[in-house]
Amino acid sequence: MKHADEMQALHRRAWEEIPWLVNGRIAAAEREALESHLRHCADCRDELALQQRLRDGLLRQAQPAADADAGLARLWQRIDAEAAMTPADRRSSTWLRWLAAAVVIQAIALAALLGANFGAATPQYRTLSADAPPPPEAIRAVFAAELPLGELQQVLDRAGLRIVDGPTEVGAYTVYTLVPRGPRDVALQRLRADARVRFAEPAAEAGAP
Amino acid sequence: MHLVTVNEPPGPAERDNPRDLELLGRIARGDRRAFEAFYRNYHGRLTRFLARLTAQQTVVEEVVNDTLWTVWRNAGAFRGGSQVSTWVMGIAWRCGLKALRRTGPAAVEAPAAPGEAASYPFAEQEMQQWIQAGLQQLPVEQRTTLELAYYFGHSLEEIAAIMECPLGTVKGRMFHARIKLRNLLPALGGAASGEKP
Repeated sequence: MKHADEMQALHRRAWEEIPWLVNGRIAAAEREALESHLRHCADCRDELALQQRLRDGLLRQAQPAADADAGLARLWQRIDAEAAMTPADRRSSTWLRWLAAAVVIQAIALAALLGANFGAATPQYRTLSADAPPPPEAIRAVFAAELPLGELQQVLDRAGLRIVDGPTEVGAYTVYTLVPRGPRDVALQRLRADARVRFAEPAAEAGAP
Repeated sequence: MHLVTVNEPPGPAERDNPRDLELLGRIARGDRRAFEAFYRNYHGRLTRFLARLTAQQTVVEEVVNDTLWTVWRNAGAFRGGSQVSTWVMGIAWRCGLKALRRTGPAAVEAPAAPGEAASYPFAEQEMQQWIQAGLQQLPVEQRTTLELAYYFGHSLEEIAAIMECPLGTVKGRMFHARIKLRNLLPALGGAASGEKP
């Protein structure tokens, strides 16, 4: 009985190793044992033949179209564009991606908050979509390009502001007080006094940026 | 869109490795000609590999370039712990999975008729159709395991490294792929039955 179990275990192991004999990647010692088993196991010989046919079929399949020249040209464009970026650009692009996600989350939270607190009294606050006009308290601001994310947060915290939109193509953000911590003009003065802020104007008057 | 030539499989990894290593060393130093040679060596096989994951040709092209962009950026970090081809295919597998999560699974395109079809007997074409139909029934991990072993000629250990999984997982995927294909491909198997070992 034990002998039968051993034979079955050998058979199962041989069966498992057949693909690696077929593709020529089986270790020498295992190959010898497998070939020895194959000599007296018709089932494994059938399986070997089947797997060889399968491999032959795969090897004969047509190759998908592949235009290496066009692909390479696209990749050089990408690599060269990245190489042309300054280190500050690269840092900026990295944290801007993070910031973009944060802005979306904050905008959703803010929209919910405003909807709950002020929605009925001030209908212009109902949404903060790109098409909606900026609320009267909103400030349009541009920050120093090399400003790290932590410092940006510091600037905003000091002025009691949160980002609700941006950046635009020229890197401008729409910011405004999340809760009424002070009149807009105080926040504007704080922003303008900070050397890391390049531009700060009431959004309604700031126009394009 | 397919070429009409019979596919030329890649050579054994051991044969290509010295050339790949030499190119990688030059790429790490910013040698663009070396990268172009490397790109051309791998472009076809990566396209074939990734076309097994998705039928969207634009996604395949994008992931091929993501893979080779990673090679350009990280050539200097390759320490020779594996064959270069194993390293590259591992990058492609990870990039491909990421793209699949983004774009969703897509049916793998049926292949064009084998190249120089007139030279194949009808049974050969029929077999190709059965193989393709069978492969489409397999989960992507099993299909990839089979492709890495039979088309790309990778060993069990190399496939485990590429797919970042234990050897036992590769064995299991190969086992289940074979059983499933055996049951699905009666024409291929001839008299083969669906019985297990």
